[in-house]
Amino acid sequence: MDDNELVTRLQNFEAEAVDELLERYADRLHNYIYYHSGNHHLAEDIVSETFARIIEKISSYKPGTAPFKSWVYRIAHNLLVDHFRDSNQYRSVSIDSVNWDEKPQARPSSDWGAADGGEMATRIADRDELKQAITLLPEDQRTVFILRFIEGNSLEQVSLMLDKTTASIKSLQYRAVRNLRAILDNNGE
Amino acid sequence: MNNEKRWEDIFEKALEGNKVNEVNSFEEAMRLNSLIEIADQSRTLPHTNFPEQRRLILAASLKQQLQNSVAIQIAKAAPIAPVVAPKIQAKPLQRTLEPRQRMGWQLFLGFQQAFVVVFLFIAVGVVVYAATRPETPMLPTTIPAAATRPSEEATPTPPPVATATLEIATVTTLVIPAPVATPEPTAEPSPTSQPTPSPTTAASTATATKTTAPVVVRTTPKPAPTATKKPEPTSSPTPVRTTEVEATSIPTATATNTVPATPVPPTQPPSSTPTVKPSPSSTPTEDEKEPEPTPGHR
Repeated sequence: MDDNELVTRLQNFEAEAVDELLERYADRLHNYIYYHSGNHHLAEDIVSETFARIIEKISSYKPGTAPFKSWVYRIAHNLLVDHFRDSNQYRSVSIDSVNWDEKPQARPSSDWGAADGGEMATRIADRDELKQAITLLPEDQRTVFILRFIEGNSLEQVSLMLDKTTASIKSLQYRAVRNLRAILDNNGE
Repeated sequence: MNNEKRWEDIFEKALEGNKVNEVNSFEEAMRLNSLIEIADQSRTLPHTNFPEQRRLILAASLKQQLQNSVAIQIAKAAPIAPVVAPKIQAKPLQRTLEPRQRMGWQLFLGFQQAFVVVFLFIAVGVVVYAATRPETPMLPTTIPAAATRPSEEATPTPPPVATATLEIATVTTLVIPAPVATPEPTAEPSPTSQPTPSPTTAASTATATKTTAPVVVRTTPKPAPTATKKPEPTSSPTPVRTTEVEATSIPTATATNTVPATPVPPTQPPSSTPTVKPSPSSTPTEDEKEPEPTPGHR
């Protein structure tokens, strides 16, 4: 069942489609928001609110306009921005505020697809340092970085999610990786 | 800006796995490799799973929200909206009465109906009992009373009905002997002669009672006790006797009164005896009819 069929069932108020929707997007949205905020509880709350908004607005979604995945991520992103704006925590996330002791359940590395054997160990060793560096990125670069590399979305999908052009997403992505390298180099020194 | 744009394209190509030939120097190649390494390392970051328990709760909530949205859509599509609203309001009332309150209410109604049925049954029973009761209890109360009468001689209760009959009987019997006694007034000297043997009134009354006593016995065979009572002047028989005495005293008492009141007997007896004697209406008929004729009647 693809996203279009899922949307059709949701628009027909089929309760079983809700289970499929959660199975498909709950972990992704939680991961995306968690790497934005560094707070599992906040991530759960925003994910729940995102799904409630999806059910509420599903009748207004038109399949021909944008991919359903992009539409779902845009809702989550807008809710996250609203949360930071209301709580005056926008751009104020620091390393100290992130509870990295909460060890999330790791997915198999095959889901990520890019790492190989020997380098994986060293990269996992640097994982905590990288997570801390991500939180120091500007919000737009962090969003693009998470959606592009952690979530594995393509440039076109991210451009649709954030309602920006592909070139601007490419530029934000490059700047985010470059700043991360600078942050990691400074921490190493 | 052009250099920045160029590096973005090189970096994007390297991420996609394409070979990058635009790198001009070793420094640029190391820089590119470090960027690709960071990008790859970011992909190794662990995915955070949405908690399973929270997912179940969220699923139930979303399904409920979906059903509510269905109801809202139906309500919007319905031509008459107010019809839907009362149904939604009626459900909570039924829910509130479902558990124990509904059972208690049914028990209350059952007891109430049973009480009404028992009350009606009792009421019907009382009415039936009251309708059948008067016949049986009246007989036993009256019969013993009548049975006790003969034994209790002094009871004044029997007279009311019996005395009435007795009075009539005595009167009639007394009237009958009056004409029988008419021959006596005809013999006028006899009453005058009688005062001598009866100088007192007690003796005259005694004689009067003695004369009436056999008459009463004759006329009233049923009330035997009355006959026995007459010699004993009790309370109830006395009124009978008074009437008897008055009736009887008309012929006899005149004689008694005349004797003691006046020493001149010839004056009163003629006045009294003529007044009493015309009442029999038997002897003086011819003398009175002659003066009656008047011209008015003719």
